[in-house]
Amino acid sequence: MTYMKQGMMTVFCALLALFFYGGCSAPLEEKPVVQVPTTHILHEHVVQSKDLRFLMRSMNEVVHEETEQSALESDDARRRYALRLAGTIEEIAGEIERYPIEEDVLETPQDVAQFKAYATELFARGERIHQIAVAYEMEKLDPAINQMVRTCNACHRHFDAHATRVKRGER
Amino acid sequence: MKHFLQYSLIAAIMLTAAPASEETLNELKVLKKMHRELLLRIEALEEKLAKEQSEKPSVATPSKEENPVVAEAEPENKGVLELTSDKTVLGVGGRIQVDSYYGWPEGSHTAGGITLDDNAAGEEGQLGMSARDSRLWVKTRTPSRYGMIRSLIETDFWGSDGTETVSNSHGLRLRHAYVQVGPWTVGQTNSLFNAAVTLDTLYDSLDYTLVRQPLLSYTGEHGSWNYSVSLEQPETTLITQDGTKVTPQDDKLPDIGARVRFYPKWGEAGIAAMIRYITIDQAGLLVNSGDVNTTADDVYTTADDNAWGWGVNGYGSVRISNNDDIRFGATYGKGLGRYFAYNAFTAGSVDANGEISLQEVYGGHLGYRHWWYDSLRSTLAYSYAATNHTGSAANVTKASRSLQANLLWTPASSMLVGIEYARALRELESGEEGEMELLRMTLRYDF
Repeated sequence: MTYMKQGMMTVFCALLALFFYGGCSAPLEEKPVVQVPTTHILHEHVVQSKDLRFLMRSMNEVVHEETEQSALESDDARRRYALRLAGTIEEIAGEIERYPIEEDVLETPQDVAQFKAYATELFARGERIHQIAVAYEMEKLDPAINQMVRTCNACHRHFDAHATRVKRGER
Repeated sequence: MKHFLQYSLIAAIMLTAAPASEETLNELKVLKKMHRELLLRIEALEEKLAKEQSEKPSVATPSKEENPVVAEAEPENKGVLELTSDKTVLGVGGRIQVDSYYGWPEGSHTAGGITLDDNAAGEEGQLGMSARDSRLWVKTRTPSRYGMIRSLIETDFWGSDGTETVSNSHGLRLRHAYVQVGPWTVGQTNSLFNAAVTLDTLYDSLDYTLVRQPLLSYTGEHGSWNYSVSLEQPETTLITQDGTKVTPQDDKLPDIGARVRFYPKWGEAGIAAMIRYITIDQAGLLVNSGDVNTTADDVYTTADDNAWGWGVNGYGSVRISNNDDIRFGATYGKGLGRYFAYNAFTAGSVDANGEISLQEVYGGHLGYRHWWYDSLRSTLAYSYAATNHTGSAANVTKASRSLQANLLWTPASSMLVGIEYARALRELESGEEGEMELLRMTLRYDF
């Protein structure tokens, strides 16, 4: 029995060590969110994007973290995260709408217009998440968040490609 | 276009050219002048057109894949099982959970359940598997002029024990059955005293606060703040001189709870308080003189006694980076009893005269959680629960402590796979000690 105990402990420690090592070599925080040159507004946006990711991850883990919560308490927790998520999204969209975009980042009026078009769309997505949370329509929350993620990803893909072109001197 | 006009004009002039007379030369001069003017006008028009095009916010039309507006919208009720009748929406859900655990020696990870060194069974270890933590719930939602009406019935399978030898047919057990009308909650659910933020572990911390019972509560919200008050089912637990836990069933007043929660950007924090009226009347509670068996020395209580018990519970989580947070909690109380550490310590002791002496309990936990990836995380945690026992019984728990480490993986948002190791120690008032190690693996799927 002692051998079995030692064996299981060894396996557990090895697994833990493996993941610790793996985690240290590729920490999540170093993943770039948007690959554009850093300016004030975009730096803010990167910070907010991390907040969004944190909120979404927390929202997904509600049912796993607090296992003694009832289904309605889990709904309440997800609802709170959803309202915060909506607030952060609307904040991001509002800032993009209000502030001028530096020309060294978004060179042409087309880029600016495109960026603001995404911001408008993001604002609408945030509004929808807010409406769903207020109405306790939790079953609609995941699809609404997926729509928001699509908007974020489309914008990130677009400007990630744009930044690559800027770096290469193609624009 | 400019060149085309230019060449056309020259060609026309050449074709119409006759022997140069003075009249012809004048016409040629006029034509040349017209040609220059036309060229200037064309250039001006071209410049104007280019300028207009550059100023126009010509948003490039993204592909369907890139632009969610263009892309077909995902149906909002996709993957949801619900029945809608008029305004009421009924949803069904639950989870399947399978646990596999090994303990050296066999025991449970609770402050009062850690096996002592000289355990009578003399067990070295025990491997167990269970699906009893699986759950099933039905909930409804109806908008009304009083606010949203929500109800829930939730069950698990920790009811009557099934035999492991054949069918493992464990019975259904009621967890929650309550209705919420706007800010009011009525029914059986979690006590307000329960910590709303706990460790992200498979085994509960030793100082865990968990009581589910019938209650009436009111909850208000203001910005990032949430506050609640409640009247909850009372149930006194006392310990006699020989260490026997008793429930007098003489409760007179509901337990009174209050809680404040705060949701800042950096995490969450909360504090809860509980006041309870603990009573024993002259119903004839047997207070053993110290022997295990009933003897002539045994006496029965004849006097009434009561006492006000109370407790506070503070907890929270602090996000220290995008991938790390700290979770903590601390509880202190006198006469808190069943609200703390799975009733490892009773509300108080009762002597031969039927007099209650409230028991002081305290404990806490601290956990550090790190996210390796979005789907992989670990927690390292320590928890402690103890009492200053007031009675004379020696075979009761004095203090317990535990260290836990885990690795939890969420391959999909509705699935959790985890492994956890815990090492726990317990000490009795008599000085006797116990130590055990546990390894648990869990698979959970929420639907």
